[in-house]
Amino acid sequence: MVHFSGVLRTRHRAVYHYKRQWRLLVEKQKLGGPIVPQAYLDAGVKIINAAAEQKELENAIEGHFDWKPDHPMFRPAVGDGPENPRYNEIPARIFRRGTQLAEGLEQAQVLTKTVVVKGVPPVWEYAANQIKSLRFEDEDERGRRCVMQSVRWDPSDLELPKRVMKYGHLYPKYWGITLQKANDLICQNLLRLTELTFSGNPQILTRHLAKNALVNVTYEPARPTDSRIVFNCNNALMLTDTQQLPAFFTPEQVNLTKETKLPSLYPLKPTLNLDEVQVYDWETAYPFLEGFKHAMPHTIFVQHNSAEEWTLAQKQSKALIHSHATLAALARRLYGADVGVLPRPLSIQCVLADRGRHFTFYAYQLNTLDMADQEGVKNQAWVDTDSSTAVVDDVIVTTDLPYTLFSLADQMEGLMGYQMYTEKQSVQRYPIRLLNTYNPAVMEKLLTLYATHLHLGHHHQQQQPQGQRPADGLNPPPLTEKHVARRAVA
Amino acid sequence: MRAIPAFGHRLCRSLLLQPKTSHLRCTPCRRGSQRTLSTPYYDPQDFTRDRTTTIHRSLYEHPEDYTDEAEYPAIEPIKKTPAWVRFTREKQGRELARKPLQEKMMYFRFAPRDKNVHEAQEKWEHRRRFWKPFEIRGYPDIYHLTPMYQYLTKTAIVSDELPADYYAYLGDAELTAILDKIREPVRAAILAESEFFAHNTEAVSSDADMVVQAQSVIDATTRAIDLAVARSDYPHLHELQRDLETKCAAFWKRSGFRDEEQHEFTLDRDGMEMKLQYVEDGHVFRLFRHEQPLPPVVPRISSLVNPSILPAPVEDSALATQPTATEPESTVIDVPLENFCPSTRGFEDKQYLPHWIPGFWFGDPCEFSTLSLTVPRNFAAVADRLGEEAAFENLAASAIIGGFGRVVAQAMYLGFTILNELTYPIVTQSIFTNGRDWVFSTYQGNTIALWKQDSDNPLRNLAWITKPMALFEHVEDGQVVGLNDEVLKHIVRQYLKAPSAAHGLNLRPYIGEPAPITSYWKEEGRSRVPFYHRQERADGKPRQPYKPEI
Repeated sequence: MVHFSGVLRTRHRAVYHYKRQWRLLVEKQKLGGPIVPQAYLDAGVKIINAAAEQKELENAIEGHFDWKPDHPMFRPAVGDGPENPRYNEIPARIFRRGTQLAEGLEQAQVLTKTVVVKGVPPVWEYAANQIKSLRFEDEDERGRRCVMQSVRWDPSDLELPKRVMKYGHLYPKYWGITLQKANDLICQNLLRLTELTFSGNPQILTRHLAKNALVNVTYEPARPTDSRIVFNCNNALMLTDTQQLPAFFTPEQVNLTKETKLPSLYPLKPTLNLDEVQVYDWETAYPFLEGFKHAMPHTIFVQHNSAEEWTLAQKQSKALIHSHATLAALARRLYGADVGVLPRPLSIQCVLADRGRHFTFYAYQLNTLDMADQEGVKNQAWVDTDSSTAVVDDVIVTTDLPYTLFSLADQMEGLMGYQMYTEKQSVQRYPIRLLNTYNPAVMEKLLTLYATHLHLGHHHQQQQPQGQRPADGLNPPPLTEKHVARRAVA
Repeated sequence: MRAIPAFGHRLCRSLLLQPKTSHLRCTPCRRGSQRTLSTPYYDPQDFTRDRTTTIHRSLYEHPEDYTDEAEYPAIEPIKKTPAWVRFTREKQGRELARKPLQEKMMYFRFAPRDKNVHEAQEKWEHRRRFWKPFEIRGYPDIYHLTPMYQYLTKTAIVSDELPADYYAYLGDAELTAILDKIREPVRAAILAESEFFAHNTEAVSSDADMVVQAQSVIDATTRAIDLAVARSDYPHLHELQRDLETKCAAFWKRSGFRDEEQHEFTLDRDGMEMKLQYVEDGHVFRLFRHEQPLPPVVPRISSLVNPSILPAPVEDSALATQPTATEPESTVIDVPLENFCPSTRGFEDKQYLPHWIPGFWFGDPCEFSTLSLTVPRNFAAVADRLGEEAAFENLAASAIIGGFGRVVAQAMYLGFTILNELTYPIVTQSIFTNGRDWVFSTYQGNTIALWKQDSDNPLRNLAWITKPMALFEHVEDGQVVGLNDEVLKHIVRQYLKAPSAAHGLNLRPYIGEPAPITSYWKEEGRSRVPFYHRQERADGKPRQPYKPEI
């Protein structure tokens, strides 16, 4: 006798056969359409195909109610074509974020019609003496801590750009403090330290600080064969005041620029590396509304956060164009859109912060907006860089360098991120990256630039030598022979 | 019908269990008649030892093994009882106290007694999957969070005003002088980017505009105070370290929850404590820190729930000179008695490693945060969903959780842990704003050992949180209408409050004072391996090991 209790499995259960029959029916209907029982047909029951009804409903659902909320997720992406509200028929060459001028400073000079003088304007030399007694005793320590914060102590854990991109290879990602964040930390905290040095001075209460001040300046083509030019610049920080800065050059020096030649880029065009686009703004934009009292620029901070390698001249060109564009937008507002030679020159100071480590300083003076003609009065700029001197084959070679705020102790300087350890044992494999040198000159420069147009002697009860102090902000002390010589060489 | 095999299916039909091969093996105890494959081990001593001599082991021959009085091992309480939990926690706390931060954090990540690497690795894998604290975000869109946050942080809301005595350091004349100087820059900041506020007055329409507006007003206000005050009056200002858009995180355990099925991974199985991980990323806009702590608002002793529990107030003798400004008890909103499980309010558990970030990473000498300025990025969305009133109440809840989280995290950096209780109160200030409406809070952290039952821990944390106040009504025709001086006064008072430690107070009793930084060259501070060089990220995933290019 066989026990059936263990034998009665799936195929002996009734449920199995019901399911099987049902599946067969469904498959049959899928192939041949719905099978309507004859009894229903006889009774005259109206047959509705539910699947078709459902399909119709789904197609018509847009008409019944608007299920797409007003959210960017559901908006169609705006392209670069005519559907874009900022689209223009006439293409323009644009200088914008990330534009790298291959020819560097010379190209920027031609684009902005600027004569460059290497060195420090006399007002800065005067101010540098003034600030000496003001500096905090522990200023270096505070500066060092700002640096350490930007490279190490900040807790941000952001994705860093990949260092190696190779097709078909997967290279690791790193997380840490991005160049942008480090630069922000350095610029804003050093500026705060600078301002605290002058705190209590009633003259600085009128100074206003704006972040991400966007400037847009446009130029009509000079010749029919040329193209429109647009400068679209984002100043990371913009320090403004109620009054204009004094001029950095005397009227005689401005007149001298008529005889100075701009550098030649031949056979290249000055618009090299400017992208040709049709989506751009053709209006001049200045970051402040008309009627805002504190709209006169004092100092702008231009950031360079690119992970790629740029030459110093290419970074300098960025600062020059930012300074020029900011002043040009202001000049058009003050003197009208079609102003040529300005009735009164405008001035601005610029700090170029390169990845929070390398700093260069500029004093720009806008004399003319007559850009169509390369002759006549030109704009002027002081460019202040550090320099190193070396003797190569009995020849003294001087190289321009940026002021380096700090250097780190180990070889992995380029990466703002973590040091990693071996996975098995927590013994460090590489030396921990730490601060090697700190350069107080950068902080001194920032203080100097901030002190421009401030009368410090009276407020802080300082004795200052007669004859050095400018009688009026508009008339800086005359150039010394050294400066004239430098300018002539340049 | 298919025939099934008679054998193989069941070896023996009378047996219910399937016999295994092990059943066919011989018994472990070998009988004398059985053969073995290998020769059994015999101790050679068994045959060669001289049984006539005895092995001497007496007091006279080994005096170092004996003491005059018998020493017995410590009497441990019966396992899995509250007494045993207390006992073990205190023991762990003692083990933990002197360890560097790295090891403290590792302690909370791994089980304590894992010496074996492989065992620890196994345990680690297990925990990564099953060790899930509740994630508490900074500013969630959930109704009526204040009582729950009060319970989770054991905080009593003392008053809806800031403590007047605490901010009495600033005279009216001086305050007015400062206000006269900063009013104009603040107006300018409101106007400069006021396109948003010019267009609309009441309803908050756009998140991004609101955030930018609020941030610029915050920066302009603090900057105006920087510029306005005389340098010699407030020397601590330039010693403040400032964080930009930083993040905070803290981990702690709260007692008073019952063992239930749903809390399988979120409850600590030993003491039935809820594991909580506070994570704040993207809301804290500015954070100011200093090397010295803010003075306590009230003495720590006066924040007792039940003063009779505490044996003797020894530790606060240094602080007893502080002015006592206890509010009348009627206005105090005490810690609620019933517990609130976060899951009932929509919070979820997440695979987090316990981590602590008080706005900066370890190594910065400025370890005491004095003031945080927070712009909740999702304020407009929350106000849209819950209504403005609930959104404002949420700000108060955020002040509680933010203040406590920062206190716990910076206590960790100072050498305390949730098992090593604070020895002095830590005070921190927070400001929450959407640009127009401002909420001010002063938080005094008295206790972080919330794993203790409330009946065992008499201390509670204190918070002073104001109602939302409008900085201005609206902008009309390029003019700011109704600039509120009270708001500016609060900002000035909180920003200029100078940190100072009580004389003779040891700020880091468990690890000692850090050596002053003489140079940044190869000085890693107290720990050889800094914790932020860990291999795992906060979510437990491994980082890529760094490989140099050269």
